[in-house]
Amino acid sequence: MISDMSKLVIFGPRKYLKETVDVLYESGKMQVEEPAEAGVEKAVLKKLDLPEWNDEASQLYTKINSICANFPHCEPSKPAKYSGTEELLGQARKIDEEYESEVRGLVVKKNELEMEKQSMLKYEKIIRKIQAAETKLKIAKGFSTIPLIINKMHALEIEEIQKSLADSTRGQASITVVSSDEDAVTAIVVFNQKYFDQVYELLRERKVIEVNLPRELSRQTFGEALKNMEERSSAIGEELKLLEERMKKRSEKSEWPQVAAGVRNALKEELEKAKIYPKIGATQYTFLVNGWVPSSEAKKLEKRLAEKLGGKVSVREVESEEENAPVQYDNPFYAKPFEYLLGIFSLPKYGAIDPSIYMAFFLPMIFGMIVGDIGYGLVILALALYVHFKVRIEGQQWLNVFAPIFILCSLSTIFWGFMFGEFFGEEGAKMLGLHAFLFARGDLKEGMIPLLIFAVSFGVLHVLFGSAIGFKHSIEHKHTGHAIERGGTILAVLAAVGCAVTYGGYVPGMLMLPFMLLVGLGLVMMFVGGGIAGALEIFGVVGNIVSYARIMAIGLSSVILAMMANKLGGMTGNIFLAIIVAGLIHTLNIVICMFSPFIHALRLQYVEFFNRFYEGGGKDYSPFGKKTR
Amino acid sequence: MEITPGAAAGFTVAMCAFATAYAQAKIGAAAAGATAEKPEVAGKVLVLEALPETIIILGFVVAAMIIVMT
Repeated sequence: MISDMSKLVIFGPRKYLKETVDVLYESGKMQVEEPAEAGVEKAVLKKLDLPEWNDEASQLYTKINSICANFPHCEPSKPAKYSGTEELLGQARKIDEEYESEVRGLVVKKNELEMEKQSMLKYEKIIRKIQAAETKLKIAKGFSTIPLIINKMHALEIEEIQKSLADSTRGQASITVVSSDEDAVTAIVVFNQKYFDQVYELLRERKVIEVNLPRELSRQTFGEALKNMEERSSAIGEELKLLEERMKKRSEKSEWPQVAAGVRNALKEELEKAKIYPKIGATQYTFLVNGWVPSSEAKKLEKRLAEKLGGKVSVREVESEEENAPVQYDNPFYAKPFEYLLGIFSLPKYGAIDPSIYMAFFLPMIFGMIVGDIGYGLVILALALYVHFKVRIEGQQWLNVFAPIFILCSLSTIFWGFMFGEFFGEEGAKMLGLHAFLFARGDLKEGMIPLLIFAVSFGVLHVLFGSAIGFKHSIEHKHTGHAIERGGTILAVLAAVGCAVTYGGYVPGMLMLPFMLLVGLGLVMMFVGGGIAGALEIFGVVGNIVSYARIMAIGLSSVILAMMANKLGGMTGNIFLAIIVAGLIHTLNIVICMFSPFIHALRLQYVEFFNRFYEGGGKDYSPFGKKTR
Repeated sequence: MEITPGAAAGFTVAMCAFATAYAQAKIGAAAAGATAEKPEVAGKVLVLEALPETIIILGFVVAAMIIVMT
């Protein structure tokens, strides 16, 4: 369900703007909109610029943030206290001035040491490879070497360089590739010393980079340089450790890192609040803020503004076009994960139907119908429960969104596994004494047609359900044309099913003519409601229904793979080998089952089901306020 | 030359598989480019990538019906 939204306009004297912004930020409920592009608002109001203090606040925030980043225990023990932005900026300037020189010195020293260490490691790696290559090459007397780094983009030119070297030195120079990584190729040029100038000139023209050791190591052999680098790396490590201990003691002795963190957080909040200014319209003496608030929160926000500002600003609810309203979901807990799937597709428009609850029911059902195996369902359930309760990976929140979805899908899979009588294939179910309550999919000749009929019948019901939702919505919103068209679709499809049932002999044959007339009536209604496009929509509906045959096709492919797993396991003749072989193929099948049936079940929702009633293109509700909400 | 039901079913699935593979190759390449420029479209392009599978699925259904009904 989509929450009702109300449009509020807040109007008052400019001197109360800051306090109004503070209240809106603290409440975190209003999505502020820009002033109207037409009418009185456009004629009278100008959009505000960012506050004058914004640039300085931003710079101070960056400086204090980098100071805090280099100190442990840099979390605020209490929030910074300030009566206005000027006072906060004063505190920030003080921290910057007092601690900059001391802290900056420590931080710069630490960064220099770390960069030197990285540089040492880089050279050490290259030199070890070159040294190993030089040893293998056995350089003859009168020959020298130049180690090179060639950018990977130019690596293909190595053959040309080789040819040019051979030409200009009469075959007394060659290039040997030592190592290659994703960025560069390291190589050694071996050449007769009498061609030194020609070789250098050629390499300079080709813009390849000679491996140069740092100045302090340049007059040493590779062996000596490596030894000195190791000693220097070790010394840097000790120096860094001492420096970090000094910084840790410094931050433990006094409260200033906590104070700095408090000021940093306060600056961050003020900068976030400042971002709203370009959306506020103002004259010289007044300001106007308009935005959307959930209707259930509108009165609370009005009351809060009245309490804080003593009625000095006016708050009114105004009429506005619903299509501009943002969308906030209000669904029960089991449908909440499916809001993420809707976000992938397209948010529902405000005032349109939110299909999250329908998806929460039908997506797992279709998934279960396709996979339909008790054993697979149990494995997927175990995995999903483990991820849901135990796994938390930074930057991979989608795992925890999909886990509850797969919990529902696995329960449905277990249910349909009982219906089809499958436990790691039919053989497993037979071993446990289970039988199919509905029909066995494993009998490919006898079970295929009933399964196809079952899948297409489900398609008919699903599409009709979608059309019924669309029909009800059209009636409620007095969209007569759409209502007639959708009503006609329902009638035509039901009557077509009636014709099929009559043809199959399940009802008396004399009903064929009335059913056919109803099909015609349905088509006429579709034409009346939607024109030619409406009438032609029947082909789309038929295509949508036939598309549900994928439930049979993908389901059977899973059944056949399970069957093969069991057969191949049986052919090994040894119980342990059988478990390994069958287990591997079943594992592969489960991995495929978690991806392919899910995508197709999702596709059936997005395309075949949503096509009947869904209106996308909604705007996300992202209110102005603290980001922790 | 007599064409057996098995051969007909196999030919059906093979042609549908070629068509699906061709379509998905094109969509996949475009999807990779779109995702590289705008990572937030990754979910949508995944669904678009799955759309041509209808061809092979219906091909499979036709092949299955050939096998079963002959």
